[in-house]
Amino acid sequence: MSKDIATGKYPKDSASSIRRRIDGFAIINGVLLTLVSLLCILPLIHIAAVSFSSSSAAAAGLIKLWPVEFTLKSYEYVGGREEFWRAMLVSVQRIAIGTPLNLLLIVLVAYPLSKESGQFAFRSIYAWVFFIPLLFNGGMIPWYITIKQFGLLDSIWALVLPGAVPIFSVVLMLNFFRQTPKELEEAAVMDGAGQWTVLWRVFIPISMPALATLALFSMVDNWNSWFDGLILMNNPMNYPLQSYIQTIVVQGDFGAMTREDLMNLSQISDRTLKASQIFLGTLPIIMAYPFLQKYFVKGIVVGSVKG
Amino acid sequence: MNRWKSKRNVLLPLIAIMIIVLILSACGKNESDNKNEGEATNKNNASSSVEEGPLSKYDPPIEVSFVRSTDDTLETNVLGNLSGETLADNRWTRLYEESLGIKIKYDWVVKGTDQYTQKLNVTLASGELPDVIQVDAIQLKQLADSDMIEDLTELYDKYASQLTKDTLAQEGTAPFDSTTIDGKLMGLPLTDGAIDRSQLLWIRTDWLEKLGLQPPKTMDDVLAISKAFTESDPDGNGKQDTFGLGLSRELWGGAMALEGFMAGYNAFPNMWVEDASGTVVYGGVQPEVKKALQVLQNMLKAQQIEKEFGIKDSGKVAEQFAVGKIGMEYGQQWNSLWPLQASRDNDPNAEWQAFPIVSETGDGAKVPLQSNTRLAYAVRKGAANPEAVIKMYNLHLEKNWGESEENDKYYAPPEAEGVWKLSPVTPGPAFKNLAAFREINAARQSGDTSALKGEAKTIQAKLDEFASGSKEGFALWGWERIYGPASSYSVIDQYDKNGQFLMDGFTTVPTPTMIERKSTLDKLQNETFINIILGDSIDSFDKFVTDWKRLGGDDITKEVNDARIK
Repeated sequence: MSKDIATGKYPKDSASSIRRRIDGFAIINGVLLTLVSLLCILPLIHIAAVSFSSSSAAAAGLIKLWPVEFTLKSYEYVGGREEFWRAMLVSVQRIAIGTPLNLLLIVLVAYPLSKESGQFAFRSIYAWVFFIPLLFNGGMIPWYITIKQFGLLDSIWALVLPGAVPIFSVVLMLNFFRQTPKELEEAAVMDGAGQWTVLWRVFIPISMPALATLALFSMVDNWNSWFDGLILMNNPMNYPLQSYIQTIVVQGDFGAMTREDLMNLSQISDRTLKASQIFLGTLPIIMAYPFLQKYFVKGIVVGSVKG
Repeated sequence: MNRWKSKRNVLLPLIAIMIIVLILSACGKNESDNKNEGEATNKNNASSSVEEGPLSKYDPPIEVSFVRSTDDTLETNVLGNLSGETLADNRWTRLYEESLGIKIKYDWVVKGTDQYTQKLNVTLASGELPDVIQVDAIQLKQLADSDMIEDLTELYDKYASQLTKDTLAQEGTAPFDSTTIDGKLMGLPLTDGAIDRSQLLWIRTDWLEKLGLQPPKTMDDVLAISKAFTESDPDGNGKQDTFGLGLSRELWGGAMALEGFMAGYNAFPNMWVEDASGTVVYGGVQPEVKKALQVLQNMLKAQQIEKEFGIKDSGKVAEQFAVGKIGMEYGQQWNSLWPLQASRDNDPNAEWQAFPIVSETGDGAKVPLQSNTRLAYAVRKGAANPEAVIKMYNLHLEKNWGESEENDKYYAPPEAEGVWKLSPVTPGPAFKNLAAFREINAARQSGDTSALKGEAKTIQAKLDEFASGSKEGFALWGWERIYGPASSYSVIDQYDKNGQFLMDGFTTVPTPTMIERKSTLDKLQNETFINIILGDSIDSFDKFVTDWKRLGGDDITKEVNDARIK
């Protein structure tokens, strides 16, 4: 390669070395991210493979990532399993009520808290009231007693109301509101808008990416939590899906099993059946993601204020 | 200015919170006061209807509240096959209402035993107890200490029928020891036969035959079989990929366990045994255990035990049985149903049989037995009819094993086996399974099985089905292995006749240090044992013994011995 006469350097070379460095970073990055995403996706593929396999292959642990002796038998069985669909319905209900409620309350709490103390008297007191429970909580027994005293046990509200204001999401939303250019609000106020109008017509429309993120958090949380269902429901008929799945997946103690239970263990409640229910239980929440994804990429604030 | 402001910021919310807390606690108090009054009036009303006698009927009927767990067997095999019956309304609840005037009400139902424990703990902590609660030993002790449950001593004497008293006393006083606190009977023991948990040695007999080996007489035979199963290619695939002994990381219990193996070396971990001087010592820290661990370590080195056993739970090890890679395991009488049935599903030629555990010398090995009564029914303090649960015990036993028994309807009807689980209380005779085997065996020898009744009849029907060679019968192989001529109960029958059982020297309520430390000590023990088997120096056992004593073992030993002297 010839030297550049004017500068005495190898311009091409230095440019390509930068590119090479970027490439090196990209490669490592790509490999790491691929590994991480494999860690997430492989168990799911394995479960799917087990659910489509014959039960004897599953009992023998032969299945890795592809079904062995393909069959739909376990899905036929699950199709007729009333408990599964009833639990699914409870979970869908929970999301249908819980997520809109979460979002509404997040916005209503975060918006006033995002204002300065000058605009909103006693702002910091209210902020404390919300932040203290983020750091400390009463523990399980008081939590249970509270819900019990409100008479919520055994109803869908016991699953929805106690977690209706996710403080962590409020903090996220609050910070998002604060980053919104002040000029937008001032312009709206100039045009005669009150606080409600400013919130619903200005802040909400430009907060779609944040709201979509929080909606996803809320849906995933509502869908995945199982412990509250187990403790707060007084009848297995009212279990949400994940509580139900917990009861079928957790292996009981052999000391407490009767021989009838053991017969069951080697016959009906086998692995493929569990796998198919876990897989079906995971599908809805995975399918929800693509519909929300389009909101993540749109940055609406960009370009809204011209200086 | 700033300082004042920040102070105000801290103080005001604190005051606000305190006010809120005050208001809330005031509300709560009012409510519980009202409740107590309500209960008191309830009690007065109801006590007038109490009548004498073990099976007398309440008129007007009373309501007794329970909590319970359900499981797959109940949902699928029982309720799934019975139309018109539910958990809340079924043949058992109807029977209790019609015969005793007791209406069963469930405050809550939960699925699964672990889940039951969790939910029960929350319920107990919140103080809202049902009338009758099924609890374990530690929960019983806690409830008794906090004076939340009734003393049943006199009620039991007065209301328990002769059948109930005889049945619960089948295993001596051990079941009652575990529910008697400071001399008072605080819970009705849910007796569960200890001998049903005897350790047996399950061996793949088709491999034995193939390799020309005899069933073991001594521990040396067991080791020789294990070696042959590992090295002589019993599955004939030309590779050394089989294991002599199946073992899971849980180490103890129902299947792939070590109690039976250790007993062969006179080691009895997890139990309290009397030493030469008459004091009771913990079996897990005795030198015999060290010897057995050394043998196991050698077996693992020789690849007779899978190296990964330390991370595999029994569900995972069961896969190895299913693919036919393991030829021997120590476990209980039901192992043929699980995990061994899977081995047969995959290879119809696989044949397993239960053999007696053996000792080093060839004399009959001592078979360790622990009282299996781990649960009891306690009655809430202030319950209107604390004796109701005793009457239910009477009726449950009477209808299944008494003179007016309808075992076919209430215990194990062939179309819905496990129907007895629908009853909120489920006591049973400790020796019922062995008794059933003896009845079946006698009938088999006389050639006339038609006179069998109750559970024995249901089991015989399974054996007949298996013998017929039908497709449904194939799945019943496990039952033939339990009750057939060369079965697990034939071995237990021998144990019993030869007097081979060695009972746990400790049967009473857990001692204070046990409640506090036992789970830690157990964990330490199991980790040490697994590590030694995996290849840690055998001397780490001595360190474990010192640690065990220092971390509470000495205190527990003292408490256990004190409890015995009383």
